[in-house]
Amino acid sequence: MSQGARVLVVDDENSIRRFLRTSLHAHGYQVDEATHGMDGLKQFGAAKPDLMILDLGLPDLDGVQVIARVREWSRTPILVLSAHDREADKIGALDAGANDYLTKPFSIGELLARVRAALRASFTPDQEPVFESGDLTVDLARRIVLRGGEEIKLSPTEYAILRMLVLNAGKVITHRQLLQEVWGPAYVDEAHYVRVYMGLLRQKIERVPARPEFILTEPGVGYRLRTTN
Amino acid sequence: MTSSDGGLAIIIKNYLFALGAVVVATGLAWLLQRVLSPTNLALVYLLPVVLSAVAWGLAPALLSVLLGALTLDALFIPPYGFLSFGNFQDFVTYGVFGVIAIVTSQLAARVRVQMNLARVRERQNAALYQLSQQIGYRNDRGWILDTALKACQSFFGSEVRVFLPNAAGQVQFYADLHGLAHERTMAQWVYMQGKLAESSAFNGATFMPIRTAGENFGVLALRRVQRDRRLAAGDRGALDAFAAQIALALEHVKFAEQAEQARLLEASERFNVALLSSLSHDLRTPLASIVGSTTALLDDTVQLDSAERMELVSTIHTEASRLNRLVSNLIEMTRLEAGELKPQSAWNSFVEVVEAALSHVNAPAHAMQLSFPPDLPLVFFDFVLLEQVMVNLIENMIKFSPPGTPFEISACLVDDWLQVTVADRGVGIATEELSRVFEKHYRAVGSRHVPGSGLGLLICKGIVEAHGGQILVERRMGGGTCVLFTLPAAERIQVK
Repeated sequence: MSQGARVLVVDDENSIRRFLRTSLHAHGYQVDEATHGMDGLKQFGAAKPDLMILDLGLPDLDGVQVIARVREWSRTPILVLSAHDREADKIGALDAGANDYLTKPFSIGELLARVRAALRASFTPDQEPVFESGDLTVDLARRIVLRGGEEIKLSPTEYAILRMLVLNAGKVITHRQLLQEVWGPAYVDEAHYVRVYMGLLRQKIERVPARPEFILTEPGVGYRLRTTN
Repeated sequence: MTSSDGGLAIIIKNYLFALGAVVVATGLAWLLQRVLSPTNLALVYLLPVVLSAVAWGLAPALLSVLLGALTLDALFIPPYGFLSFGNFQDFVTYGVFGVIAIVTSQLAARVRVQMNLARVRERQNAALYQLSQQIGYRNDRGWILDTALKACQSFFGSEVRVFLPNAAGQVQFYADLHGLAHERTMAQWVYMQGKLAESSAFNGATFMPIRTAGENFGVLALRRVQRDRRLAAGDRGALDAFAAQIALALEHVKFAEQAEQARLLEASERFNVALLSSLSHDLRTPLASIVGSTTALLDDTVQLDSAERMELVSTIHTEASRLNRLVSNLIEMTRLEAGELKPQSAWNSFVEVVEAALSHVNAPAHAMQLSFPPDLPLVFFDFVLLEQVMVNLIENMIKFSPPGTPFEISACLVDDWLQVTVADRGVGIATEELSRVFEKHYRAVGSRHVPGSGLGLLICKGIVEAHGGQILVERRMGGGTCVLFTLPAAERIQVK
């Protein structure tokens, strides 16, 4: 599905649109473009793209508004573009229903990885219950975690966190999503729970926790499990 | 200056003194009566008259004329023991005595008034001098006003108030919660007109503008303690002098503030000029590389092999990343300058900060020696700001270290503080320069050839201090530089 997929780019910056168009074209995607939020929504309805790349700083509509309007009737993945120091905007967009984000400036490698992750349907354990990245293996069916062939013992909470990341491999998972899933709805504001258990989990599966190979920190937002490709 | 009770006592005392003087003169005349004729003996009685006139005033002097005449007539002019007053000559003598008493007492009274005035002036001058010494060069309005109020109160022995205008030009009581509305109205008038006014309310009050030639600063009001006394001319002058003294001190404060503001403005302008000149260099250098490389890539006539092409493209990438970081620092700096840097703290893991910072810089992985205890607790700080601190410190290490030298990053808990160390084996900083590295835009002598805005450490300091921590730079034993900073970690958060 990834190759030949239709991508709608909504950004008022000409140079960013050109960079996205060129890069995505070169990797076999079809690209539609819009410069304004209203225009973007119109094209979204008409062209039915497989993915929307949306800049949060549009001249007419707030990015969150655009996401909310799309989410009223569509589950098409949305990737937002945001400035470095706007963590609150990113979280707002993710809460509104965006699937992932890219922090400007970004490399083409990051762009393609995000696009691929967003286009790929959620990891489906029914078909393939084993996740592999580097020398890390997570067998969801047997609840076994291996690194370099050796089994790693995880506590139930640590395993629950890792499982959630594996199911969304390559995509950002917010602190809130982790809290909701692992601890329950009453804990969604207790971000420090995630940080403490993530520290424990990393000490078990990462060689150098400050330079992680598998679980990456998304500053102020959450975490992302790195996929091999 | 005296109360009425005291006045009566003094008057009685003056008459008694005059009486005493006549008694003494009579004794003297008794001794001299053998050598002097009665006419000349009368001259002896001139002594108590003059003395009384000079020392005790007209009435005691006239009393001594009368007593002198009676005593002289009764004791020294025949028939002895009786008053005769038969002699016209004697009457002329007593008349002259009376005139002398009047003239002398008048002269003496004038001298006395002058002396009193001089004494009052001296007291006033002493009080003013002391006040000017106290408030002259203090740039503290509250202190000046409190001190001046105390001085006025002790000088006049009356209630003294100060009124100061607010931003809207409405005078308000200074440090006085019991003031009355009509006093404020009066003070407002005086403030607006810049003229003295007296009120008959209570026992009478005087409102004096606190003003210099150029400006009106407020109003000084004196409420009389004694009944029915308007302010004497001398006191009014003193009040005026106090008001002028206060006005001068307030004007001095105002000028000092203006000078300080001008100085700050000038310093900020100087900084901006320096920043601009350095920035234009720092921005242009990478831009020049980018523009140059792209023109080479775009030019059809330039034959490039793929290695050369790759080199140009990687130059563009490196320089653009540098520009990006420079701009981030500039944005942080602007926030710091504008006082907008307020940490949005949460319970965060410092290890994650290091991870995020390392992912932003091109750090050679093998040279990084990271050491964090596994049980390092969460600490309350702003993740993005601390990430900026670590990016700046790590970039500095890389910039100022020869390739292949190791970098060390560590964090640990020391008492109630998270202590972070970032150390290299680079060119180092001379001891005499250590204290200056946090100055705006300072670049160490040995580092001026390396591009950079000189803002990095300053931003780090601003961020760390905004969190209540401290940062310092040290020379390392065996070469290199060590930056050490702390974050408060006395509070812990529990996880069930």
